[in-house]
Amino acid sequence: MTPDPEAKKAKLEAILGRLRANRTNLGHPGAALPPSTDSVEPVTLPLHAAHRPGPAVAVAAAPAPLVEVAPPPPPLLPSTTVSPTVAPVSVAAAAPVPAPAPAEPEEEVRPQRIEAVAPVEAPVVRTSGAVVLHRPRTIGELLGAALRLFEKS
Amino acid sequence: MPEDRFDPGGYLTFELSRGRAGVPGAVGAVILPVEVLERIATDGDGGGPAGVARALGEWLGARLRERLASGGNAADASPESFVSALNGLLAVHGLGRAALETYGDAALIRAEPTIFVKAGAAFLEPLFGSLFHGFLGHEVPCLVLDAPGASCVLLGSPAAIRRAAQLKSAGVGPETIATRLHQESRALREGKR
Repeated sequence: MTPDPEAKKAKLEAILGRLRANRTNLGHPGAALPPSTDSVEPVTLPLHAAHRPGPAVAVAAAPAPLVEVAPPPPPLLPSTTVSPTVAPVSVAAAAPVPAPAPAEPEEEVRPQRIEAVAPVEAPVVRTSGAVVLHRPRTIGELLGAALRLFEKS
Repeated sequence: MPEDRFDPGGYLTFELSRGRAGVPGAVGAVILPVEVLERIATDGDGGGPAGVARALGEWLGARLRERLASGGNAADASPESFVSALNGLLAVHGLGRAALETYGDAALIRAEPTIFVKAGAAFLEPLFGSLFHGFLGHEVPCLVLDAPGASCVLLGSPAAIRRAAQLKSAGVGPETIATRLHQESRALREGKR
């Protein structure tokens, strides 16, 4: 389709002329209307820059969100290994034991008390004596001395 | 859906400072090794306090010897180590606690048992006699002396035990008995020199 403004202008004026003639013939019955042989071709006008299509933009499809599905838990089986459970330990202060009665007046023998205040802690040795007799260094020595009581040697 | 797994948490409890073990609904619990239980059940004297005491004492004495030996002689452990190990074992078995007192050469164990409390000497004398037998490998004569709030077990030679029994029958207290034993024994030795 080749735009030819002069030819189109001539066609339009011809059409306008026939329209004027038709208007003139209005009100006169019997007047024959000339057959229209005109055709209007589309006019392609230059597009404004703003109306030009923009560059094609490739829109990447958004990836589908990943949903991590945890593996199903293992079936519950009766446990054959029972770990020992120890309840919190209540460590109470050891009740004070009354000190042994004083010895006979001829010799003052003060006791030494050896006790573990709590089994998880270091034992406490209480020595109340002003007169500290020989203190055994080992449990064997302590028991040996007791087993030699009243022995002659 | 019912829980299929048994949760043992909190069922067996320990109060180590008092030497006690417990289970729900009971005043206390005692942990008995299978060997001890079988010996109690099959011994000729049955499961009375003395039979239980002998089986337990031998077991505890052997465990003490094992724990305190550490490549050497268990008798070389300090008295503090011995008492600490003894109380630990007594506690985890739910058997109470004990302290050791010395009066010169005389020695007393002040025991606070959790079982057979009313049995007194019938339980404590075979218990500690067997315990020291298991620990030292030989007999250690014991005599229970009355004491308020606890039971005192005197350790000594046969002669010392006999003398202590005389004093006990005369109403003398445990601490005085121990002191007298030390004094009389020393006087005897010095007199023999």
